[in-house]
Amino acid sequence: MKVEDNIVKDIKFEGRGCAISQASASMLTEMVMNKSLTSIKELDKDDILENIGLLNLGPARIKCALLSLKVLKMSMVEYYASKDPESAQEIREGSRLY
Amino acid sequence: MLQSTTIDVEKIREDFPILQRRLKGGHKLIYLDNAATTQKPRAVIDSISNYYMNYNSNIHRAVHQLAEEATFAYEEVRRRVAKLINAKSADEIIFTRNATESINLVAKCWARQHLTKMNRVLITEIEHHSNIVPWQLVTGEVGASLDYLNIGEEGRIDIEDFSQKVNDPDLKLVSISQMSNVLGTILPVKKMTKLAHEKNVPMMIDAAQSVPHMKVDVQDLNCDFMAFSAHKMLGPTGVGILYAKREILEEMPPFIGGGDMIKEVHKQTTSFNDLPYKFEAGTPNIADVIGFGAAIDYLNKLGFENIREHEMQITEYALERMNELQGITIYGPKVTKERGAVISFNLGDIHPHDLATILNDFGIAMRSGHHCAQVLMERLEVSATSRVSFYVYNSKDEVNILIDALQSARRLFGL
Ligand SMILES: Cc1ncc(COP(=O)(O)O)c(C=O)c1O
Repeated sequence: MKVEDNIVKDIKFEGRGCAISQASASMLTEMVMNKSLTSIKELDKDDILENIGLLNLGPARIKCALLSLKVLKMSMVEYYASKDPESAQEIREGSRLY
Repeated sequence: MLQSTTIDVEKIREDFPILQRRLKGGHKLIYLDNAATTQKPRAVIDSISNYYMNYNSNIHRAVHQLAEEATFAYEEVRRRVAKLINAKSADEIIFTRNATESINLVAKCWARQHLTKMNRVLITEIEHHSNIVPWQLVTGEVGASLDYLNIGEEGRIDIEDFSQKVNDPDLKLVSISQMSNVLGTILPVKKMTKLAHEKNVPMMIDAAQSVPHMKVDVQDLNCDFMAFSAHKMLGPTGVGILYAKREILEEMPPFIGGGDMIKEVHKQTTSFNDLPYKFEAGTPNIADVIGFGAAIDYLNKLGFENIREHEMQITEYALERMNELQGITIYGPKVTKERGAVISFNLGDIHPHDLATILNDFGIAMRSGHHCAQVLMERLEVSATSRVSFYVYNSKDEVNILIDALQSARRLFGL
């Protein structure tokens, strides 16, 4: 992920996994492209589930759909850790997705 | 042609209330996740509710009638477990929460006492996490090392390699599973125990997948420790068994402290109770131990030889039918005599979680993932597999539905 002036300029992912995890990761990269980190902070599980059109995934498979969002949020936690610990903590709290 | 089985599956199925239920879409339940946990017959469920309705009370202390009945029922199961695995005495049977806790008990109470920095513990690449992590923890704590026996194709070990590895004065314990929960491979534990004992190395057997499916005799194997779980053999969750030889248990320090494991408690000192109570602090899982007794009775009535025979037949049939599927990779031994009723596989490049989701739409409960055996997954160079595992109530008809479902998954994914 490449960030300039708080905006996501480029984002790619590498992964191996089931269809749901790969599709949602791919879709997530499209969702956040050219968006501000501030708006990404607000993304939650329903945004993802609506976008992939799978609203009633069971507790086991919902993890597949939300894996990439979790990874994205954890990398933001790291990004903010030193420069803005408060935001980092806020994102960490918000990343408890299920 | 397959011989007719000695087990009447249709009759057995009537004993399992859950097998009568319908799933979403009206499908019958086809339960093929028996290596994870098995279903419970009515006799087990009834014995638990009978305890709560008629003689619920705490055991070992009170003198009233209920306590007497409950204590008798609980201790009677200990005797049945001892008989099941042919232990010399019921004192050698410790009730725990599950196989995992039994292995941890040995790691914490025995290994911590006997290991020093110089020592090693030997396990195999095939182990379940519950037979890896406790040894990592205890060897880490004392600075000892943890060694692995490599496995070959189909999950087999090389007995030559093993006899070389046990020929090591620093080796203090071998712990291996008798049957793999992923590949179904049955390991030659009797021979391995003999080789280990020739070098004075004690042997622990993780029998979580073997005791439920075949006759296991601890005196014949001559192992020093054995662990297994009630819930994988028609019993309730929350009951595990640790078997160990009396002389070993007697010199082991207690696991956790509290009531029931003591003889006398003074302000600063305590003398510990006799076996097996020394290792059973606090109120145990009385109801579920009693339920486990009913499970043992049920299995004994079927007969372990018949169970093994039935499982070999259904596994052979499933392997034969699955091998017809193009693009399938089946892991583990090809010969049914050398394996249990567990089949791990991958179908083309369909991810196991996706396959399990499709099969779920047919009412099939199948496991997908790493099966708590990531070391083995690394060895097989896969990130996950699909796994079906059979038990006494599974039929060839269910295998046929499995094959249809797998065919339809192949079409869906364009294989
Ligand atoms: C080979 C093996 N060992 C140990 C265990 C652990 O059993 P439990 O989870 O009941 O402690 C399992 C259960 O999956 C197993 O298959």
